[in-house]
Amino acid sequence: MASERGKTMADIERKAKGRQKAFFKDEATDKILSSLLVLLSEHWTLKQRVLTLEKLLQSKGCFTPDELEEHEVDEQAKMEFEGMRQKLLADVFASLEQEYGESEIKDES
Amino acid sequence: MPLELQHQLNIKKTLDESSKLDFVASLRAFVLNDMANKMRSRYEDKVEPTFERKHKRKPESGTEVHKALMDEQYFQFYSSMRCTAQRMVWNSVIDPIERNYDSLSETATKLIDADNLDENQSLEIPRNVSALDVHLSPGGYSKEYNDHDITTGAIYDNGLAVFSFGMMGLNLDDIGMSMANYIRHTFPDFKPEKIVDFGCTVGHNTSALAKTWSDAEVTGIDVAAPLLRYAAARSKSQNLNVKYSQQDAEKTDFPDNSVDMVFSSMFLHELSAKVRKKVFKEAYRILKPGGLMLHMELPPADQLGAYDNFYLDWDSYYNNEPYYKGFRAENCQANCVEAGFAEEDYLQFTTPQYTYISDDEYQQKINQDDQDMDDKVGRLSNELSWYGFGAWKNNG
Ligand SMILES: C[S@@+](CC[C@H](N)C(=O)[O-])C[C@H]1O[C@@H](n2cnc3c(N)ncnc32)[C@H](O)[C@@H]1O
Repeated sequence: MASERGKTMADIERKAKGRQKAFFKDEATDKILSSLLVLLSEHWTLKQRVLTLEKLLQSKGCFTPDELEEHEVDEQAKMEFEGMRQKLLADVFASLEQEYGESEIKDES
Repeated sequence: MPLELQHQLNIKKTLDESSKLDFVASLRAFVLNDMANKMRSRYEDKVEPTFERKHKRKPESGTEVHKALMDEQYFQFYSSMRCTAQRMVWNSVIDPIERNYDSLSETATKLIDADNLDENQSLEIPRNVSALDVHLSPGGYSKEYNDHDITTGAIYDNGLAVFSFGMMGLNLDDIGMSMANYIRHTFPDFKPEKIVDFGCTVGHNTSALAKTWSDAEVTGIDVAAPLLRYAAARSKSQNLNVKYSQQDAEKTDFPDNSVDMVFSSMFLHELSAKVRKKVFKEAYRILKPGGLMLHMELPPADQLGAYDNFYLDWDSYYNNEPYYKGFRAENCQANCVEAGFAEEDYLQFTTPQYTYISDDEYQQKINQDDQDMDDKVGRLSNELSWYGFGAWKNNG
């Protein structure tokens, strides 16, 4: 569905103008910490999905905990999983692209 | 579950999207409550005594506290995590907005008409808005992706819901509700007929004014068109009669002596000192005699201790808020007087949150409270209260 006046939606900007300050002596620490938080968010997202899924399936009597352990997915699913792992890595290490330094704008009034 | 916006522009999130929103809100609550308390203890138990031994006195200003804390590892973790959490707030809402953009835009367009939105495409966007992505929000307030765009509005509304981790009410309007009801209870004879909200953003607090004084003609002004479009649709979908108009608060279209109340919240600290002075003068100009100028803001530095000043000014150092500290260093009463208000017509107060208690309880609370300034004023934490100040325009 294109928006009314014929213009389509541009990708929304994801980076704010301006630099991020580093707090640790070595800014690598800031980057790793930032990645850790993103990773934690990914971890929680996944965990919530799995827990929700298990609860749903068990409530419908679809499987027993043993069957879940034994199951193996097909080749196509394995390739999909690899794509998802690459995106996960890119998201977790997005902090490596973050510029650090002083903000350029100060209150000059 | 993340807070669902209480209007038609609410986005249906996927399970993963809502898990991420939940996570970021929890992370913010963890950093701003747990970690903030621990950082304060570290400061009191270790950093301050060290400073005192060296200088034979305690730190006297927020700046000194800040300097003393810089090498403290806990401060570094707190700050670094808070910065990342801030970026995550915006990023967590951009995905679902982008995914739903077309239908969101269509819903908004249907709700907007000439009665509730007045755009001015030739308005020059001031530098504090155009040159800066305040509080690290990508695109800031004014970036437009097309000529009827609402993106920055959607980012702000959804982002605020995560940012405030449930502390600003379901409608994100607790500031407006608390301010308006404080005035309603304290000055029961004051019945404003015409109200203007300066720097209204998505109209979340403007709506509170329209709810409190339902007969009043309420107008929200802002310089950023995508925010105003979103605001107009938001208010309309809540059946609130609010008009939005694209104007610069420095120089509005309202005639002299035409408005009963000029309101703003969290607005003044995003202006340079020079612009701020002009905005006060403009408020004075458009107010009727007997009218009220009312601002909700961060509490001024001279009313708080050194540590609390450091804590509130954190945003100025690290959250792309270059004017915040300068604003807090000013004297609010002197600003009002300089703009033409009489010294004795100045008022200031703190108010508890209105949203979570009944109207009766609220009234009791504001009558009892000695309304002290303390470390709970103006910061998102348990038992928070809001600071307000302003002045009546002299009748004579
Ligand atoms: C932090 S927001 C205000 C938030 C909102 N009032 C609230 O209660 O949460 C500041 C707003 O002021 C607007 N603004 C900045 N300078 C302005 C000016 N000179 N005139 C009108 N609006 C301005 C910005 O576009 C932005 O929407």
